[in-house]
Amino acid sequence: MKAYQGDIAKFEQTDAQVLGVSVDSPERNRKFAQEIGATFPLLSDTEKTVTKQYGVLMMILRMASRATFVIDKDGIIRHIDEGSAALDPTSAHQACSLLEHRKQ
Amino acid sequence: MSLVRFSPMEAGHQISMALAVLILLFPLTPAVSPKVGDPAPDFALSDQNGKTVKLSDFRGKKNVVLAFYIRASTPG
Repeated sequence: MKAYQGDIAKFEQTDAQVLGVSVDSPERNRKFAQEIGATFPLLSDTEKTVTKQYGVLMMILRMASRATFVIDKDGIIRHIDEGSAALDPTSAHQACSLLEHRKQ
Repeated sequence: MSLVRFSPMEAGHQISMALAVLILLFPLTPAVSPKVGDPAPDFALSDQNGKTVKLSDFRGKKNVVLAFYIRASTPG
């Protein structure tokens, strides 16, 4: 999440809101946000409902510990990074950039 | 392999079997992840300050980068 925070200005330029999701409690996420200086929401999915809905639980069983979804303003998924690719926010940022260019 | 008797040697295997069975039995678990072009499932989750954030809050306003990091204090 530190890498996403590092690129937060780039994401803002493409009119993108970054949302982190984990199965931690809001209290744990508050400490984590302070540790890494996160200015974006870290959402708490303690029931794992959303983690399941997005198929991320299946990815975890395939040993991919990360997944990033880029969702456009119409609520459509436009880009997915899984596993180590999701550790680096670059391709997610490029996807946001493309979305903004397409619109213009 | 026995699913009934418990032995430490088989514990790891039994846990993975139990997980597999749970996933097969749990009807709300989709078999596949949503794909590019699919509508993103809406949600309402609490952020680190206790504020509820909904995906639909950003509809028509912002692109959303939804980054699952599973557990706090992991790299990236």
